[in-house]
Amino acid sequence: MMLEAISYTLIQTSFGQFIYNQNLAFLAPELVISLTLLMTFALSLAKTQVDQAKSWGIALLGSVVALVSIVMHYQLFYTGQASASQSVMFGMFEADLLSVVARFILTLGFILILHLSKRYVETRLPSQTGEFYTLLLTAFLGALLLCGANDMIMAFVALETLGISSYILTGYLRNNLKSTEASLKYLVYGGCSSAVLLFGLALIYGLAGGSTSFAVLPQALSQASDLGAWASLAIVMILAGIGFKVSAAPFHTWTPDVYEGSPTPITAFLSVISKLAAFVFAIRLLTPFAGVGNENVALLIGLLAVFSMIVGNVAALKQTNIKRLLGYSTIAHAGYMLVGLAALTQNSLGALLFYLATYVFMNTGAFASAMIGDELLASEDISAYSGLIKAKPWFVFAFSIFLLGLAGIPITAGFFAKFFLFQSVVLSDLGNLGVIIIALLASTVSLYYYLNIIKVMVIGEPSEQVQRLIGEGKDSTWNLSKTLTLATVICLIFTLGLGIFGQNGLLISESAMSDHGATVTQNLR
Amino acid sequence: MMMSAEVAEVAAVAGLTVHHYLGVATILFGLGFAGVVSSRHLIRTLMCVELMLNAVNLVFVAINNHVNPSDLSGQVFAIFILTISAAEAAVGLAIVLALFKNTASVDVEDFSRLKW
Amino acid sequence: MFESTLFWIFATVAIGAALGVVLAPSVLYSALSLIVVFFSIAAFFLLNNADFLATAQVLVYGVGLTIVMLFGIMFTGDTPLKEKAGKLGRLLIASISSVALFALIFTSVLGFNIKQFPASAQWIRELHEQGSTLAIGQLLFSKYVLPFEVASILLLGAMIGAILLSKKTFTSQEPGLTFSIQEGRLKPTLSAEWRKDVGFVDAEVATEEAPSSTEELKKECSL
Repeated sequence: MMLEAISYTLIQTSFGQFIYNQNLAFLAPELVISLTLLMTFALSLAKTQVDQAKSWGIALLGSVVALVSIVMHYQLFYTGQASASQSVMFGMFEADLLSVVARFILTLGFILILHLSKRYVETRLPSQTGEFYTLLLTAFLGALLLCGANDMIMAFVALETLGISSYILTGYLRNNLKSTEASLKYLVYGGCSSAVLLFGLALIYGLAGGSTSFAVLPQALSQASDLGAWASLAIVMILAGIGFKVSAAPFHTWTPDVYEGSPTPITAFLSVISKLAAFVFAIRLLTPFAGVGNENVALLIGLLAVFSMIVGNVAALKQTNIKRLLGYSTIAHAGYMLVGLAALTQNSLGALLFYLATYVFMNTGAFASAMIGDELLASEDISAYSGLIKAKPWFVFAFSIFLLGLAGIPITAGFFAKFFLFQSVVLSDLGNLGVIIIALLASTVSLYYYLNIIKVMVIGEPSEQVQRLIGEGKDSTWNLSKTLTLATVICLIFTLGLGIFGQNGLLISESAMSDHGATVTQNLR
Repeated sequence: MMMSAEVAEVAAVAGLTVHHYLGVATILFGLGFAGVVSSRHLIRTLMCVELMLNAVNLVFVAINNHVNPSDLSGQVFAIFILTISAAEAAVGLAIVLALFKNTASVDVEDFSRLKW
Repeated sequence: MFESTLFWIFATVAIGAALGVVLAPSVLYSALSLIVVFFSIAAFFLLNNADFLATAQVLVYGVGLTIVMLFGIMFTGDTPLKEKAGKLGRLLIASISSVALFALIFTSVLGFNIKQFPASAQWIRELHEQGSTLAIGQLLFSKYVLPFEVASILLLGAMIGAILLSKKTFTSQEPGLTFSIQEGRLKPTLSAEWRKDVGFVDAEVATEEAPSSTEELKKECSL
């Protein structure tokens, strides 16, 4: 009663009116994250490391609050209290079920990555903990905004917020040559790709009659019946930019280098958060093209998908560094996801969203395992993992589950995600059968290198490092980071759980997509 | 009749269309791309990236002025590109300096610790 | 007629200077010709009724960014790179790929007439009289206020990052400079990392040569 009175009075003020009219409440997660990053920045000025270490707690608290607000938004949409799509801040941001579901997955993934980074940051560069979390939160803010960006300018600013913070974080270990070098490569590639993406956006801007909003795209594209070379060029350039972000071949060349060079939590961040946000951006930007029957789009995305699957899987076969191998596996996964994007139907996009959700947990889990492996063995070489089952059976079990998930073996979520995705693509158009066959062949190839790691760990002769571990036995002074273990266990639960309750997850993501599709069709009218 | 057609043609050549600006922007964009690919000096690589972004700015402003001058959103977009590319250049330079401190080199070919 | 003359002049200048950026023998000349490119693009902006943007272009790119670049060149030293084989191949790949890119964009962009929405004569007149600053300001603070705010966070992040990447690492366990009193005199000791940064080749030699007088100490600290 009291609360209602207060909120009523607040709404009467002009600022309250502004917040109410512009649906600012739907930006609550972003506002919380901005506030959190300012707090961690303030803490980064603290003299002592004890104070700096608190920034982890603040970052975690902020993301949990953001997660809660996202769940509340989901409630609003689910119960029908909010209509299917809410335009926030003069149409810059679109709060619909798609953005809510995508941001929910993103925030879960981000909380896991926070858990991954705690020990790593405290041991590597303890004096700069505050700055690390500030930049990580900035990148995360960019990713959140990209999920709902409904305007070219907003999307570009969000993309660059994500991008520039990622360049810095990649070079975070600035006395490590590999890290700085990776950072530089990422920046040069990123700068070029954003220039190309912007050129494409400029051409689209011209086609749309000088409007930057995505909402007018369906109508503008359907009216311009003879799109001609102009639109095709724009699509090629936009796909090049998106292909860079999701690391699809032939725009993948930065991926292995950056993945190997950057701090492992950041590698996980790039492969999970960056990729998910970029895919949601691609879905928003490209769905209008599906309505006008432009087959070039599907063809081009299909080509990207095939390239990525082949390049990623074949190059992964001969990798010896675990992070590099996971980098190539990321490229291959981008290929599978692009198969779903190429079909551009509501079902396939829903399956794509579900695939992304499972991928978040499997891949974060795999990187968490790589981090534990690095702490145990002080090596990133796959040969060092040889015979590890004799020393750490539970670790080998968890790592194997993640690898099996990535390979798409039944029981794990990875299998169901792949199954739903390929099924929806085939059902949408039987002509896609060729791509699906390539995808299936590619996943068969991928079995080899995923299972190879498991084979090495289970039946290989113990390597030097493993023998040392066995020798130390129970007297080992080594203690596992609690947060890292927690993250691994959560990933494990989701990798298995999403497999069992897959149907429900798929339903949610499909309803998100059908809402989005309805909005696009509405804009067409 | 012949005369008037010729006059019209000349007028079309003399008057500036959006395609003139797009042509110049495309040439600058291509040159910037060539510079990024060919340059061995890291700072020149960064400058060429800026050149590409500037070409894109020109495309936005030209399209804005010739397609829909009553809505200046293209110019606003150009302002955002301007801001962000300046930030990117600053970060890029910081990275180059960090690399230079470690290796005392700005030659692209010296940075192959990670296989390309 | 006047406008198109200006266009052709500035187009020639811009393309010539851009060639200079790519091909100049010294990176310093590249930076100087980049300034010329930025100024001619500012002129194109003026030809397109974008006076505010032209000013911003000159201030941010023509002055600010090139000075940052020149600082970078100063810090790294404009030493010519070692001659290596394969320079010709590099140039060949670059020219082929960029000509292909250029041809692709050029042919598909020029052959298409986009739909135009001409503005009212009054709007154009107002734009000519008042300039675009007012209109851009109104757009930035109403419709585009959200990206505007996000850009501020981006700039904060970029600033933090640039400082983070280029400053020295000191922790309370290992401070950059410590003082101890030996034989009644103040003796400074530089941390190993700082010593490396400042350019001492050998750590042992550096400790021996640690300055004893205040002047020398100041000199070293200012490094």
